[in-house]
Amino acid sequence: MIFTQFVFFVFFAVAAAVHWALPTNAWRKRWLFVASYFFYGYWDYRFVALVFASTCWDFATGLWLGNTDDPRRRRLFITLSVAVNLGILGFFKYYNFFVHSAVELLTKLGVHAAEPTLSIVLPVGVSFFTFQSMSYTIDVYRRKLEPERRFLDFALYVAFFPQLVAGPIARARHFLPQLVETRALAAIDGRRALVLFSVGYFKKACVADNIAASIDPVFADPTAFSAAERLLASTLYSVQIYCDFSGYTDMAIGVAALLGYELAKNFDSPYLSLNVREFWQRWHISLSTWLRDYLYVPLGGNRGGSVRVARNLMLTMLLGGLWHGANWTFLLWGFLHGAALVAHRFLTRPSASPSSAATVSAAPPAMKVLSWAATFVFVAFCFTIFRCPDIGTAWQLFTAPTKALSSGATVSPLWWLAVGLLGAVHWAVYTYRAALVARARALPENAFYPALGLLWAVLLVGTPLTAEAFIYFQF
Amino acid sequence: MARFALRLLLVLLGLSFGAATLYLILPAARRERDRDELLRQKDVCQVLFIGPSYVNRLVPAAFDDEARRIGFPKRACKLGRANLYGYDLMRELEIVLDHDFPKLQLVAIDITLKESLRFDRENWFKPRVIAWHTFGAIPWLARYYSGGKRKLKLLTALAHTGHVAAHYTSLGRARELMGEVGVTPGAATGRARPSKSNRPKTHEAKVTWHLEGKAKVRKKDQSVPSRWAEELRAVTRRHGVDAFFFYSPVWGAVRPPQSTKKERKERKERKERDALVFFDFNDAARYPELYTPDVRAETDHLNLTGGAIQARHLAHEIEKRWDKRWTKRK
Repeated sequence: MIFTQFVFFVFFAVAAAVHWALPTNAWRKRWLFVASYFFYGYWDYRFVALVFASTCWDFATGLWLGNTDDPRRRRLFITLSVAVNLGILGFFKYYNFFVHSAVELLTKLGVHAAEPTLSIVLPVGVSFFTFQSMSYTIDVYRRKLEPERRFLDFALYVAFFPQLVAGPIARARHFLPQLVETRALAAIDGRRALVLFSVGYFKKACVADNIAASIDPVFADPTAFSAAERLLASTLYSVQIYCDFSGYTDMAIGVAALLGYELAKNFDSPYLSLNVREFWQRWHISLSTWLRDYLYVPLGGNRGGSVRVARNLMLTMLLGGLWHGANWTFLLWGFLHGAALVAHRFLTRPSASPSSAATVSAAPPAMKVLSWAATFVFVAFCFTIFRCPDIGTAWQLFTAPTKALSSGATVSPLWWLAVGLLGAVHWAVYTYRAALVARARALPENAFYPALGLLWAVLLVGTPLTAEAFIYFQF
Repeated sequence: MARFALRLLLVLLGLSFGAATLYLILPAARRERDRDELLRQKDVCQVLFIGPSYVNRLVPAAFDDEARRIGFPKRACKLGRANLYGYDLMRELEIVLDHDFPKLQLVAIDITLKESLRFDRENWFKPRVIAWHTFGAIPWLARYYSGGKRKLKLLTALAHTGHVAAHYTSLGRARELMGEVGVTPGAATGRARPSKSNRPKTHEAKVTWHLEGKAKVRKKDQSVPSRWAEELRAVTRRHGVDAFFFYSPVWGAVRPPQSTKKERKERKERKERDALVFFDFNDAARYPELYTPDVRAETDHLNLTGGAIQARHLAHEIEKRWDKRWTKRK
């Protein structure tokens, strides 16, 4: 069930109607718990048990941590909790990758090794809910959070359907308090939620899904396409992944808001960034802050010498790459971003510019444009590697000669025009968003809602007939 | 609650107005390459062959040559499209004949696939399936499901409703329009082929199977075609031309469309001059040359050699039955 599918609209209409019809907060939470598990089970009912088991384990860990002050016991509990969560991730995401890589390595060394293959189906969103669950136990261990004693609240925090399968990775200290309050339908900001959902729908269905069908063949066999086509596909993939993921997030935030809950912001127009550091402050914010808080800082963060900080950055980004899945392309993507962050860190003077934003705002306009272009090209290059099924295909995409069949093929200039137009619209919306929001809020009801209907008439025309799965579901 | 209902109503109003406007603004019919090809010949075409993929294998030039050779000079043109049958065929016929074919005298309709409907789940929300879900399709669908051929389940009824909504909200049209201006390949079209797993594998077995099956059908049912053929003819007559029908040489034992008792009685009472005309090429005993391995392509279809033979047969059959009323009625 994808947010852009008709079946989701039916599901959500029922879920929201029953939710708001129930008289008490306790009943609403019970209902949302059932609806969330139904939502997850719609993909594959077998993994409902996995989500439930993971929830039970981390809930119990939280209670154990809360019931003891013995540091050794606390360390044991948190180690067990992290081990189980990473074990789930490792088994489902990395087992075949590591076994296959080990066998390949042994074969290269001349040692014959039979590959024990297991047909493992990846549970949708496993990386998201395990990271979310882990952040809770780590926060309880660090005493930044009181253990949750209501199982239903904790289970809903893990399984809340708008963010269950592709984030944003919610923090317990942000989400759990929301479950205590009883929400009133009249208090929700329906306009903001509907506009967010509509904007997300546009990004996902009208932009990302339409791009997907056009560029998938290029990534499947780059040698069958000309250099111009490959360059376009590479650029379009950057547009696709942003619109796909941030569109999903916008819809998730909108859906949650219609149920009375607030989810954290996950994107802040990252392609307008003027350097890689700023990009990571604006791209997949819930993951980058998770990695910062639970990996980079424990590794030492900015403390220590340059080599140590560089090591911390590289390790964080490598693991961030690996989080996306078991593929050398993800590792290379993480490595390139890590290297770029290290380079940026040591090429700029941290003492003179405490934040990236401060550095760039002071730069002359031409420099800003250059910085922006360089950042976008770098990010698009890395995403191209990220998208390829393997390193070999990525190499082919950048270097291989084109087959004679389409060696002279060019691409329609309309594509580039569309990319430019989308970029301009994105920049304009970002720049004037406050004024746009104010204007939308000022509209009377009998103008706002028909306008929303008109907008949806346009969105339906732009919706392709087959809905593509969200890219980040596989992670 | 009343406030929520009012808001919903306002959204629906905006949506309906927007959808109706876009439906009128956007090009009404999708451009189809095969239809464009046909329309390029509309000024010279006198006999139009239309129907499913079997029509694709017909060779109009072979028809023209043979017709000229037997002193019956006619120019043919064709429009064959995979799985073109049922209401889809009727609608396509309307679209094509809405164009001016100044010399058109006869429409030859391939009804091998009958008035059936394959509305399988895997075909839902494909452009072609959405395209024929117009308001005009609703009476046809009602008749189809009420005729006892297939039971209408709730989910199927909802799916048909969804398709009508998709048609009038122009769902997915942007993608098609992008394809038309060459920006991106058009969305996939066509419907899934029915399973043929139970069919014999070798050519000889297929011929035997066909002959046996055909004989059984002929023995069991000699009924004349259903109201659908008359409806198709009514469409062509509205556009000033007459129609006849043919079954292509396929492996299946095509059973002619069923008629009700009442329909049969009505037809008996009708004068011979208005009888429907059918040519049945789906007969390995009568047309063995259309069933030899060298004229068959994959599975059901003829290759172009076979298509040329069938086109020549058609020239003879039409010449034999040519009726002066088969001229332009406009």
